[in-house]
Amino acid sequence: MSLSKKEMEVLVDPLVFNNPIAIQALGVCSALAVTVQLKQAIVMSVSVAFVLVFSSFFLSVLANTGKGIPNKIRMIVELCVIASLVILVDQVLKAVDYDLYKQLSVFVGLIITNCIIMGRAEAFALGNSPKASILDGIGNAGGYAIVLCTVGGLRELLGSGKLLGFRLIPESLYTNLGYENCGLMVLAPGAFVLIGLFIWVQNTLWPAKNN
Amino acid sequence: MSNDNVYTFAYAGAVCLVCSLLLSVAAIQLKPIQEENVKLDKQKNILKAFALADSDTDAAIVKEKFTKFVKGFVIDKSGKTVEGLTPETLDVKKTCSVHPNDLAKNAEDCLLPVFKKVENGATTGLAFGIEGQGLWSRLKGYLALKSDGDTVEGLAFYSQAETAGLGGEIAENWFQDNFKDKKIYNAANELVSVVVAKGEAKNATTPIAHTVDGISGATITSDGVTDLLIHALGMYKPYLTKFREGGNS
Repeated sequence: MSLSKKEMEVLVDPLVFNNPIAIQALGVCSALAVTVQLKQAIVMSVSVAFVLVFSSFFLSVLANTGKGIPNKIRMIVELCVIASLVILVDQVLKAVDYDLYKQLSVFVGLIITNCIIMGRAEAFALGNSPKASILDGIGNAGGYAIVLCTVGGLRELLGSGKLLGFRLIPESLYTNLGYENCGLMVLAPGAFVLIGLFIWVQNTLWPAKNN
Repeated sequence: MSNDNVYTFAYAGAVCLVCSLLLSVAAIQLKPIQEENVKLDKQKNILKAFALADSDTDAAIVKEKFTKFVKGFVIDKSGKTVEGLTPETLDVKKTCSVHPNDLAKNAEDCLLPVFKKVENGATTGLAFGIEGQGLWSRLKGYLALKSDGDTVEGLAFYSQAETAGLGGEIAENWFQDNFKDKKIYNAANELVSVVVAKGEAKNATTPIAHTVDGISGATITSDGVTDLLIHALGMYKPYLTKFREGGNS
């Protein structure tokens, strides 16, 4: 499958230059809630990617077939598709990894309200071809995942000295040198600070395009 | 315009039908696996209370250890063992709730599940379900006692939705480990349960043997744990009395 220059742009742009969290400021709430540990961040990223790609695809198909989605119930149809996909993810997670399901179930349910998904459906999928919508979904999910996993990794490392549950900062550092975990990182304010720093760095290196 | 409305309604109907069909199929297909997971999770937490497993123990090992070491049976309110029933076959409707708010609603002849830890033919521990109200959510877990029916072997919460980092700490090991080796009976042989202190246990008014450190910033959750322990132990008191006298081991 070859991609035109325009399609490449749709795929790559949201990764950094038009990042959904750092530039579009979408989906910030979930980025605060599920980034205490890297594993949670990864599962959340995968779940959001699944929902985003498929909702973009289905909605684009619906919008481009026949008379399209009736405008009066446009948003309800969008929500219906998104909610179905989210429930599907929730049920699959419950069957595949029950421990993670118990930790994340509340947040997975809240993917429905994640503004990235509704935002991309409204801003992109309804007006573009299914193929471009899938690429847009992958790109935005990727951009979301980059921020989520970076913040999740940093918070787990600084907050509990581990990464994916493995101890990276050796015990001896705690007992001999008096090293202490940064308690702030485990709580939500830690995520505020990190995402703030992330946005700062991003805007300094690659200032948002004014279109 | 009416034509437009017909289209809108038909469209809405079709979307709903397709979505609901998809979800029903998924829910039915996944249900057996999910139920197995729920069962396994309960078994794992009973083992956790008995200090035979931790959060990372594999499913296969949980199954094996549970069959090997844990024997479930059912008692009535007076503490008598009911023959022919196991916790698995016990009807949920006939089970007594140990939730403090539900105690008054329990049927007169309701039954309670109990789990014994059996090693080399000898009973070395006892575990039962605990349930109560925290700040936001129902707290559900298991409390295990050693063979003297007095010393706490362990405590494990398997369902809670308290504030992460505050009340949610009750699901963490440091909090649950504090219960180990605490006593539920005092020197006068009265059932006093274990109290979650406000702040550190050593500064509390209750004796240290019956007190654990509280969670700062989570007073209501801590009080909920204290409360649910007293009530659950109250429900099992007749059985515990018999067990301690050695009549039922």
